[in-house]
Amino acid sequence: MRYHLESTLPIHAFQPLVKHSPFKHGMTLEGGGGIVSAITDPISDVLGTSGGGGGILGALADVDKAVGDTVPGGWGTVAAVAVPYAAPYVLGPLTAVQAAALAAGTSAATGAIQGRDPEDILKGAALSGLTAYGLSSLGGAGENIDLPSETPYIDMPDGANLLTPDSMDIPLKEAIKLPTEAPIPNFDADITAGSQSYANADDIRTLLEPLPQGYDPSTEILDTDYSVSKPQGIRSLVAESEVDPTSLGGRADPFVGVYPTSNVYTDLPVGYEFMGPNGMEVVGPNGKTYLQKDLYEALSNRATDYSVPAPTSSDLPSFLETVSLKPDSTPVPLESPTGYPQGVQIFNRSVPADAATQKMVETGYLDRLAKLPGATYDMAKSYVVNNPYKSAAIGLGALKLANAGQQPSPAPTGIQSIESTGYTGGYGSSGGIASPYLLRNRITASNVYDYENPYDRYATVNRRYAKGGEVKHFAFGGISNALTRAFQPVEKAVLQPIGQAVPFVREIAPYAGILAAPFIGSPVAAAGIGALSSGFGRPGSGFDMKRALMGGIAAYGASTLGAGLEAAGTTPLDVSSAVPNFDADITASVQKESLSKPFFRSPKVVGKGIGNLLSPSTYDQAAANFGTKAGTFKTGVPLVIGTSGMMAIDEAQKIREDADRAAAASKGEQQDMLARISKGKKRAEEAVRANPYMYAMGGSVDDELGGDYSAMGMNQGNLQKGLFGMGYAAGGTPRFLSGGGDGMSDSIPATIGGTQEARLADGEFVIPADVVSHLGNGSSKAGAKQLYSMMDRVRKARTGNEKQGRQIKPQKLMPA
Amino acid sequence: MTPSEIILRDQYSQADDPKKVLMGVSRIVKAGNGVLLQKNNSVLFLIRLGEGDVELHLYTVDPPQALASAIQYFIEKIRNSDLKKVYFIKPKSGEQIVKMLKIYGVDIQKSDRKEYAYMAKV
Repeated sequence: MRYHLESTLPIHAFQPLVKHSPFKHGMTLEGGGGIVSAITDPISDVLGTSGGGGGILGALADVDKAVGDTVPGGWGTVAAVAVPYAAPYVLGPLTAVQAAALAAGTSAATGAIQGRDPEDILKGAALSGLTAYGLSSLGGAGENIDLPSETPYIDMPDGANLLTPDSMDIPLKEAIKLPTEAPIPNFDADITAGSQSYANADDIRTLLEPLPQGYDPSTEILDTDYSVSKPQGIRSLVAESEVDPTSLGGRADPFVGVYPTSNVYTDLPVGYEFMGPNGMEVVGPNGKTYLQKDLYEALSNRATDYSVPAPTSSDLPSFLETVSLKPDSTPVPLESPTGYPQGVQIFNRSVPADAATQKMVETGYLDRLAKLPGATYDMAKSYVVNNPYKSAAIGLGALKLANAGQQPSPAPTGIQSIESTGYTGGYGSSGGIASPYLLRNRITASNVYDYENPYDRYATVNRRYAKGGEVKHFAFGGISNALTRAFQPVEKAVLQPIGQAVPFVREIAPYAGILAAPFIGSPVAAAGIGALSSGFGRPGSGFDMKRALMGGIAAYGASTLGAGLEAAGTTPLDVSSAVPNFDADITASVQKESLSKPFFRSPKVVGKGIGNLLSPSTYDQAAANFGTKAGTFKTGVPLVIGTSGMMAIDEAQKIREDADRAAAASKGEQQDMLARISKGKKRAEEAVRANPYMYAMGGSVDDELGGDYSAMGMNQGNLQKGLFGMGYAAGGTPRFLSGGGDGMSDSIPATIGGTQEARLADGEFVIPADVVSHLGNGSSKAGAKQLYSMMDRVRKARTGNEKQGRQIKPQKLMPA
Repeated sequence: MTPSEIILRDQYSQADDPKKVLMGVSRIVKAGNGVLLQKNNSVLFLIRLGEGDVELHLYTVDPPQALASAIQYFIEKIRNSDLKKVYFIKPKSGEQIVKMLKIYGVDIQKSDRKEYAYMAKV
C-alpha cells in the first residue's frame, strides 16, 4: 500500500507512541542491569569501552585503514561528500525523497561525528536533503511509473494499519469540550486532615484499634488484584452521589467527552443496546439515534449525488450494534439488515489500543487531558492506554460503500464541496468516522490532494489531511518511543549518573548514540539511542528535547548510512543489478527490518563498504551502488519525514513547497555541478598525465584519493592544493625525491608557496622549513647557514672540494 | 509531590479511574481506617483489617534508588509498630514489589486471606 509522505505515515513504521513504561516503579533494580545495562551496554560495546574490543573506536580504526589516513576529516567526510554528489547518479533506483533521505542522514551523521552544534546538524541535514531532493528529482530515468517523480511516497507491507487524521476524530472533536477551569478537590487537605501528619506518621498504631462496628474492610479494595477474584472494589463502592459534579466543574468524570455513545446514541430507541462507557447497556426511550439520523442524511445525499431514489424510513437499517473490545480485532460486517441500501455495508469496527492512543495524540485530546488541573502528560497517556474501550467506542458503526474502491459511473456532478456544505461526516454514522480501511482504499497518490474530489466526499478527506497537517505527529512518532521514555524520571535519574561517573562517556555522551548509529542494525533503535544520548547531553545540562529530536534524526540517518555502507561492503559493485521494483524492494527492506538480525553491524563490513565506495576506477559504479545496492537505504525514508516533521512543527505545508522550489531551482545547480565534476575529473587526469612523477610523489594526496576528490566534485582548487600546494618546498614532511632525470637535472617541477616555480632533481632531499628553522634555533637564515655549512663539510670530506661537482652530459661520455 | 499527586500519577497507569481511587483513600483516611506514610515520592497506604492486620498499598513515582530508600523507611516504620501481619494484593507490578521486599529481608508468604495474594508477618 502506498501513501503520500506529506499527508500521512504508516504508524506501524515506528514504535508505538505511547506504551507503558517498562520501568514503572523502577523495578529494574533487581537482578542488576535493567535500564542501566540496557542503555549502557550497547553504548559501551559500540564505543569500545566495554573491554570487549571492537566497538566504534575499533570500527573507526578499521575504517581509517580502509579509507587511508590522508582523508581530511576521516571517513565521515568522505561519506558526507560522496552521498550528495552521488544523488544525480541514483536517479533511477531511488526516488527523490529517498535520495534526500540518504543525503540528509549522511549530513546529519557526519555533522554529529564532527561535533558540530546539533542545530547546525539539523539545518545541514535538512538542506542536504532538500538539495539532494532537487538533484535527484531532475532526470527521468527510472522514474516510478505510478507516481510523478517528485511525489514522495511510502509503501507499507500488507496488513499494516494506517491511521489518518480524519478517520476517527470528528466525534471526538465534537464531543470533547472540556472546561479549562476545573478545580480538583483538595484531596491532600482531606488526607492530611485524616492522618494528621502523613509525612512522619507515627500513628500506625491507630490501626491496631478494633474495627468500627459494621465496617467491612474487604470492601475497601482500592486496586484491582490480578490474582484474586474479588468484588469490584472501590469502583462499585464509591457511589455516584459521592462525586460532587459541581466540584469537578460539571464533570463527574473528566473523560466524559470520550464516550461517543453519550453523544451518538442519546436518542436511542427503547430496548436498543449500545456501547456505553462501562460496556453494553440498554437505554433510551428517545427515538432515532444519531447514527440513524446521520445515515438518513447520508442516504439522502447519496440519492442526490447518484440519482438514486430518496431514502425512506424503511431504508434505515435496524440492527443491534456491538463493538468488540479486543485489541487488533479486524472489522467484520454486521448482519445484513433487511432493506439495506444496496452498495452499503456497515462495519463493526474496534480500534486497536495503540491506534486509539495515537488518535488521542493526533486530535490533541491527550494534551488537553494533560492540561487538566492536577494532571500530567504521563497521567493522560496512562489513562488513554488503559482505557482502550473508550477509544474503541470511537469507531462505532463505521460505514463504507461496498464498492468503495471504485468510482461510480457516470461521475456525480454538482456536488458541493465539503467546506461549503460543512458536511464532513462519513457515509452516515456519527460523522467522520469512515474507517481507515475505507481511506486506505480510496486515498491514492493521484487524489490525495483532491480533497474536494466528490468521490472522496464520503471518505472525509479534508484539507488538513491533504496538506499533511498531521505530519508532525508522525514525525515525532519515529523517535517518540525513545523520547517518551526519556521523559520518565527513572531513566533520567539513571542515565545522568552514568555520564557523571564515566568521564569518557560524559564527554562523548551527547553524540554517543549518533556515533554508534552506523553500526546499529535498526534505524529505529539507533534513533532511540541517539535521541536518548543526545537529549541528556552532558551531566547537569538537563534533558534537551530539541537536542534529543535532532539526535534521534541524526542517529536514524546514521544508521541508514551504516546500512548502505554495510551493503556496499557485502555486495559486489554492480550497478547493472539494480532492482527497479521499488515496491518489492522497499517492502522487502521493511519486512527485513522487522526480522531478527544482529543488533550491531560488523565494523569490518562497514569499513570494507567504504573502501569499495572509494575505489577510484569504479567511482561511477560506487556512487550508483551506494544508492542502489544499499537497499536498506530505502528504509531511510522516514528520516525525511522526521526532518520534514521538524519543519512541519511550524508550517507543514511549506515542506513540499520548499522541496518543489528546490527541485526547480536546482536544475541549473545540477548542471553546474555536473560540469564541475566533469571538469575537475578531467583536470585531475590531465594533471596526473602532465606531471606523472610529481603525482606519484605528490603531497599528501595519493592517486586513489585524488581520483575520488574529483569524483566527489571537490573543487579544482582543493585538488591543486592537494597535489601542488603542499609541494616539497613547503612540504610538511621531509622527502627523498625520486623521479625522472638525474641528480642534477632539476627535472622535477615544484612550486614555492603555490606560486613560484621551482625545480628539483632526482636524489635531492627536501628539508621542511620548520626543520631549517630549528637548526637555526628559530632562525631560518641561521638554519640554512648550518645546512650550507654541512653541505660544504660533506662535499669536502667526500671530494676534497666544498663546491658541487660540475654537471656533465653523460651521453657524451658513454660509449656509443 | 503531595500524596494525592503521587497516588494519582501512580494510578493513572494502573486503574481505570484514578480519581476514584484517590477519593477512596481520602474517605478511608478520614474515617480513621487508614494511615498514609510518605517518603520521597512514594506513599504507603495502610488499611485497618482488624486484629493487628493491615492491608498495604504502595503508590510511587520514585526512581529506583529513591523507591528503595522509601521502602526501607516503610519497612522500618512497620517493624517499629505493633502490627502483626500485612497483606497486599497483586497489582501488575506485584512480582517486582515482592522481589524488592525480599531484598530487604521481608518474609513474603502466600496470603492466608483469600482476598489477598501475599502477606508478611511483622
